Amino acid sequence: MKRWLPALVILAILFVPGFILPRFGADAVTASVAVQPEVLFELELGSFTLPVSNTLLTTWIVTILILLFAFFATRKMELVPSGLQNVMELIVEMWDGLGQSVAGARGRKFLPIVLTIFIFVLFSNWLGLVPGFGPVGYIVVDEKHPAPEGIVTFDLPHAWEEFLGPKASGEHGTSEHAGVLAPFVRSPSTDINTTLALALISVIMTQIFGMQALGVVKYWFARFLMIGKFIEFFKTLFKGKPNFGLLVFGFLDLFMGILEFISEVSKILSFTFRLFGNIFAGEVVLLIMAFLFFALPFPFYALEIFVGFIQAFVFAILTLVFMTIATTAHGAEEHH
Amino acid sequence: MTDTGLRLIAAAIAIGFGTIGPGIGLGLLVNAALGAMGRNPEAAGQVQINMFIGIAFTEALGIFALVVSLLIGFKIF
Repeated sequence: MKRWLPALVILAILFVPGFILPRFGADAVTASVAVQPEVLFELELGSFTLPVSNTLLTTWIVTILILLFAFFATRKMELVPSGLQNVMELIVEMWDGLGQSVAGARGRKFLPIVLTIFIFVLFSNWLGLVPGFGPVGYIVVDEKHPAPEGIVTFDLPHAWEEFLGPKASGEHGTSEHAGVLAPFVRSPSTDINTTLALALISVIMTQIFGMQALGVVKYWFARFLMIGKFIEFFKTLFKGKPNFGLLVFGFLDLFMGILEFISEVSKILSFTFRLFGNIFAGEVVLLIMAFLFFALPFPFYALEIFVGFIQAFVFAILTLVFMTIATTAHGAEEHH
Repeated sequence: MTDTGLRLIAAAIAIGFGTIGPGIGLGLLVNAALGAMGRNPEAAGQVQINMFIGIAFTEALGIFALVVSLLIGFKIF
């Protein structure tokens, strides 16, 4: 019996909001799928106001959860780990091994930022999936514009009427109190600002590590401004025996440098939209499935838990691999 | 046909056709990587990491389709 208690609690949390929500509150609650996060309140910081959206609030919750996790995992450390310490050691050892096999001796240097990205993305992906977080929120009632433009809305009571009968959507049955449900907690990965920030951190740190390992001047001239072949060409020109093959390769190198630069920019784009697209699409799928039939989200929940882990893993391992490539001198493979 | 309907169809076409190529590419890529891992299990770690890099670049194309689809679908353009 004791074993089944957590499962029962989770089921209750999962079902209760779904049953209560259509009966109370506004008549026509529309759960929204919006790219933009909903602003909950605004913080006054002197002359500057900080709009706190639900994704920013969740980012703070995630940060606190990670701090608590780290604190309780390392509070009473023992040689034979148990409980949270075991989980922490599992994560750290997995990434330590990966870092060694990808980057060799340099792996330990990249590990702090890679592990931070992994744990943060994992926690934020999974927190958005905690049952009951999605439907708990407040209803933004706008008499004139029930649903803002550009937002795909689902008429919640209408979907529930088919399952619970016509009375489930309230006594009035009219849509004079039409509103949009703004959840309090929404996964940070469904906010394009969070994923863009993570992508920028990853790419900029990669550049910094590359410059640190190779030297600023050498790094730029070896990767983006490859004019070494031109210099060699002019050397042969001044000697009186111009080598035009070098000139051709010089232009090729220059073009390669431009391509390399474009690929750096597209790295930011693909980092941002890979995480955002996967998690956002997952939330939309869960929402749609929940409105179709109450038990339908379960298989998709399992899928989303898996996707959340895979996306965190991919984000971190790509950061690790790009850092390794950036710190490897150009042409180093040819020598050994 | 209304403007909204046309927009939604455009978004569906963008993501639907845009993911065909990356889908084929991912299939080929993972096929080759798994074959390599089966033939040479000792190199599995290295193959896996290179597979992830390849997946990232292949998947990026699908993600561009997703971005275009979202831009059309949510009327950002």
